[in-house]
Amino acid sequence: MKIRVLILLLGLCSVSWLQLAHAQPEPPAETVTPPTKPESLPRLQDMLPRTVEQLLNEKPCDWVVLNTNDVIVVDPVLPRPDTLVKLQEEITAKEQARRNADAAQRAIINAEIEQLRKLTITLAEEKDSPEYTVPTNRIKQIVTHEEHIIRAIDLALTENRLAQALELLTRLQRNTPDWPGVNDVGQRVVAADARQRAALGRHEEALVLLEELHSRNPNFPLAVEQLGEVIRSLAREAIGREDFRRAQFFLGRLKSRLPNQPVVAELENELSRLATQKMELANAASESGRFAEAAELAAFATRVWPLANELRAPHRKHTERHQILHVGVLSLPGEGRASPIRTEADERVERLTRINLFEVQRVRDGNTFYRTRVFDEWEPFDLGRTMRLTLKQFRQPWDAQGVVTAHTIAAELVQRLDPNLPTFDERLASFISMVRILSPRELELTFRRVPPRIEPLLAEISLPLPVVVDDLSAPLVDNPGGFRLAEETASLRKYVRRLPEPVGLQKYHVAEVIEHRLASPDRALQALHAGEVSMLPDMPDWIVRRLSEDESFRQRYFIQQFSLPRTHLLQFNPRSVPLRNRELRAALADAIDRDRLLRTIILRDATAQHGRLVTAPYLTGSPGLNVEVPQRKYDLSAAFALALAARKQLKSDIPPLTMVVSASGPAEAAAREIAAAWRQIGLTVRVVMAGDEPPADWDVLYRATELSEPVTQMWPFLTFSEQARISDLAPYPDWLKQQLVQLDRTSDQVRAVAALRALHRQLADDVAFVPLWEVDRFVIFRKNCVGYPQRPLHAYDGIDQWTVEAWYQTELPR
Amino acid sequence: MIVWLKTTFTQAIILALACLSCCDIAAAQDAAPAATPPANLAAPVRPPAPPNVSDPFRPYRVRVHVSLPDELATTPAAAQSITSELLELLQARYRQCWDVSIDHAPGNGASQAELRSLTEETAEGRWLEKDLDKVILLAGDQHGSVLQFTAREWDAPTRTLSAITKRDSFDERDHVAVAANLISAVFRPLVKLETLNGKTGEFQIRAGELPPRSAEQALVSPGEYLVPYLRHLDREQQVRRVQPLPWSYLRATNLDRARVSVEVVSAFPAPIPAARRRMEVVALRVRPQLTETRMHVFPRRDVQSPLAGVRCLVFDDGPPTGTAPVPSLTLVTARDGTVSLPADPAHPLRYLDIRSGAALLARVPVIPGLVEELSLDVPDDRSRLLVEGETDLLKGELIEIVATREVIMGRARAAAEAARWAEFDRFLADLAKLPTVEQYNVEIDALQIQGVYQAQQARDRTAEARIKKLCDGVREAAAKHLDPFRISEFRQEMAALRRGK
Repeated sequence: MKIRVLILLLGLCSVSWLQLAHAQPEPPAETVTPPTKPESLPRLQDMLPRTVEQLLNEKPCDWVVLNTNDVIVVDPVLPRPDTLVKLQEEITAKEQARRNADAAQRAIINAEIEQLRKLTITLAEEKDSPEYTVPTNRIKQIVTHEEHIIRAIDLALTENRLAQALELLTRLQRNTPDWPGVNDVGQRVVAADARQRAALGRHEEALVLLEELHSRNPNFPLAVEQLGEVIRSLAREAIGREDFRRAQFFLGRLKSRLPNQPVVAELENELSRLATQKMELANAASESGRFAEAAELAAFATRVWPLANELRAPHRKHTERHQILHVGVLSLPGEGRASPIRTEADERVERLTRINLFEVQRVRDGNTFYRTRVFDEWEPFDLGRTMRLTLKQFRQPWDAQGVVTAHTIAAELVQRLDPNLPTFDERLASFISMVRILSPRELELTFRRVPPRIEPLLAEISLPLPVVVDDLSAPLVDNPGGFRLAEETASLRKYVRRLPEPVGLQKYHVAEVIEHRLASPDRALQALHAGEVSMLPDMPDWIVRRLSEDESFRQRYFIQQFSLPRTHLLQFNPRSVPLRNRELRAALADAIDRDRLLRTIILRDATAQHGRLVTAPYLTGSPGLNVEVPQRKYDLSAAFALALAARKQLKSDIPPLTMVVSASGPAEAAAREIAAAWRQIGLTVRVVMAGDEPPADWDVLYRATELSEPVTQMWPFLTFSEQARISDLAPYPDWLKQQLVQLDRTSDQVRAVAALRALHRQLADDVAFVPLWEVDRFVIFRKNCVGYPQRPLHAYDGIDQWTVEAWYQTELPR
Repeated sequence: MIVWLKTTFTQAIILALACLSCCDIAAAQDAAPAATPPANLAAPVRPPAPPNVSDPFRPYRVRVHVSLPDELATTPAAAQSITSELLELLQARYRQCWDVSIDHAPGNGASQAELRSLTEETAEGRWLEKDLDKVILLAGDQHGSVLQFTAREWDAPTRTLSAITKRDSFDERDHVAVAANLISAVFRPLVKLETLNGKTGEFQIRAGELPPRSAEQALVSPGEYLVPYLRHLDREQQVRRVQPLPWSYLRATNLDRARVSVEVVSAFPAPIPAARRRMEVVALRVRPQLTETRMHVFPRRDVQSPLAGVRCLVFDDGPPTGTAPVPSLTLVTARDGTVSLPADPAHPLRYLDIRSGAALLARVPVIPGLVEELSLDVPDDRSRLLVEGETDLLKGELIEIVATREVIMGRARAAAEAARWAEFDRFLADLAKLPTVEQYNVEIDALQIQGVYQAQQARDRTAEARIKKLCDGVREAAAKHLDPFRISEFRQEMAALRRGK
């Protein structure tokens, strides 16, 4: 081919090859005469379109098509694009200029015009690239390299070779982004891509492409229809999966772009119909007394299509009759497999599901005050040696607790006083010698030793659960009440009242609590905004502070501070052999920069507004706190020296330590930092999070706790137990055992507090644990939740009096 | 005569009537001298001296009071049949060793409840005047298909009760044999001291020359244990008082007919006093029948505050020796100050150490399973233990001070060598802030004064001495490790280095 073109050109030219080659710097090259052998040049109709490989890999070339339909393949000509038009425009401009020019100038212009009437070309296949000229009047058209590409793209699209089309388009857009037709071909590629993805069922990808196409060219043929189709598919798929927010999201996308698209109305009608259907089912359920089902269906209906006005009234009726509180949490009960103690989630739910004989009402100046749901009065006799307890005979309809008889409570107490039963409670048995039932609502406790206060002694005793826990129609008498676990999935726990509120009340209260586990605090906040949850009890401090400063947030939500801060600390396993060494414990304590961790990890607040360093595992304001106990200093050098001393005493290297992190949230990050600090003093530490596989054994426990009554709680706290058992003290030194026993035996509150202070100092000197910090906690409520205490003690404090007013999110997701 | 009678219903009635009439006659005869004293006696007649309690030819006068459940004793004849069979079995076993009679009558004090509530005082009041050596109470109680026998023995010479012992019988045909076995189990033969030589002695066995039929019922066998008692007598050789010897046992080492050689095992160096005219040393051979013994531990002079959480170390093979003996069992007293010592047939005698911190409060030999409960009072160690805890903490503090001092000195030296004098001065200032030996001693002195005062208040000289020793130990350690000379030497060295730079 190359040789043939050369011969043809040589035949065409009236000047020798050499002259041509050297004529370039000189006056314009001689005009090429039309080919004497037209059959020697390829005809346009015989030219094969350039392949994708040629276009991508070979040198670019243009086709100069002569009037005879012969084609000369040349290097890309200039000017471009629209070469002939541009040359003609230049000629016209020169001719205009020639009219006003003098003779000399006219001669020059004439020469220039003459030059412009010829197109200078370089044959694509010649080695030295000699230039030739072709009179423009003999050129029919020029097919440029770019036009070849566009044609190839169109051909590829026709043949469904989308990848090649995209490659060519990319090349074209990179090299000549302004080439006429690039945008058009680009749109065609996007449309084809969207079509193909939609055909493969990848509708979301297709939607993105079609939206892009629509943004570029709203009039692109069939784009609107395709967009509607894709949205319909996506929305229907979401509806099929009952993910109505997703359906609403796609519908909203379409509506914002094409409000009059028929699919918009179609989907709106569809959703509205479904919502109405659900609401009708809700109405039917309500009429037949199935209020829980009615509330669920009503909430479901508003989730289907919240913009339907006819849903508002029935939704209010049903959801306020059976109120459901959705709570967003970061961990669910039972998930702390590796934790040797109950996790925060376990404690949170225990307070929801169990009714204790006494519960903390408030903590003021470190003193704990109790309330009871069970007793009307409790009165000491015989200088406190006996206590007569009168049970409540009546309950309000909203009360979560049931009416129990003296027999039930006596049976529960006896279960704890019988040493042959696994429920035996040593401490209780050491105080109570006899339980007498005086009447169905009166019982008398006779004390072997007079306890300093009866309330903390009985506070941990829960009313026994009914045998048939799922029987909602169980009689009120001896049904302890509280909430029971009704449903459990990997990401959800549902609790319902054991004693539902009776029919016919004017106002109802929370009947059901659903805890949703959310992956992160940010996701929890998102769920709150989306209306998926109405309460967030365990948000980290930096988010709470950020939200507190957000005026618009505070208009829609309440942020309430819990009464009790949570104390974080490290506790050592008394059975861990290396950690029996006090120097090693001191080394671990000295290596932790608590102040930095509190400010940077836990609170993310340089001012530490909601946290403080502590020296004890209980409240900073507790009267049992010994103020003479100093804060332990951060001193890495001393820690290193103490670790060396520990090694000497142990006469071996310190084995790898395992730290279990029972607390969640930012505590996990803090624990990692602590482990890193310990590694700096030459220790090997493995960190196990609560949700991980339980380790074979552990040495250090990172826990967060609330000890509101340290006089009675210190012993179980130190022994990682629910009860104060002598046998659990076995690993501790005798002096500590006796101190705890004496503290437990003291019947005078003042002496007990003094003993606690002494114990605080001794435990601090012994580095029995490492108190870290105390963090204020907050709970966030949507404003439709009312009735909770101003300063709740725990997440579900007095939940039987809470009300969740009807509310649903009417903003479509965007 | 009784065994010749055939146990038909009529004969049984005749027999019962005969027994009753015999008892009445005997009772009337017993009561007669007391009821009608001789009127012609001007001066009181000295009663004859009581017979030797350890006479090897004198059989035990044993009365067995039996209480059978209604399910078993459906008729008097049935009950009589059982008691007769039991009597025959016991007589066959013990032959001349026992002069045994059986009483099966309602209200004879042998019900299970009465057995449980019986005290030594009650038993003494009921049977002391009956001219018996042993009274054995046997109660049967039907639990479904199981007949549970409960038995308890009262010994007249020592006026003591044995522990309540139980046996279950599952087959009607075994009931009598089980009852007889139980009676044998609670029977405690008596011995009396003949000679004592330090930790060994020789005792004479009552009815030792009238051995029972089989070795199983042997009165004393080598390796068995005896519990000693002191019988204080009056001028008429009547028993005035019986005194148990606490935490003391005798182990039979050798048997020669009616004589048994023993070895004294006691918590005390010489528990058995030298022979006196009006004092007898007797002992009862015992066999642990219970699975455990509950030990109550409480501080001396304060029974109301039992010692909870106190370590109890149990040693099997003699009293522990060496600095760190390994116990067979480590127990802890419960909140009420009790600890359950399990019985071990392989090691009937066990040693129990009561420890408080590093101090040994008591070391006593115990035979677990012998009695249901024992009480042990120990010195009140609370003040000393508190001081021990505080001295432990002070020692820890001392190590911390020394470790910190060494680090500061090292860093100061490095700073001085690098001529970073500002840093060096800061380290020296830190060094000066560390507690000195004088400050440390002030803490120890305060601790000692407080502890000694409490011990003196409790009049516990041992605790006082121990507290002083503990504090002296810490003081010595402080003087050694917080030697001010070391710091002044370091300062001089650093000053020289600074001058050189």
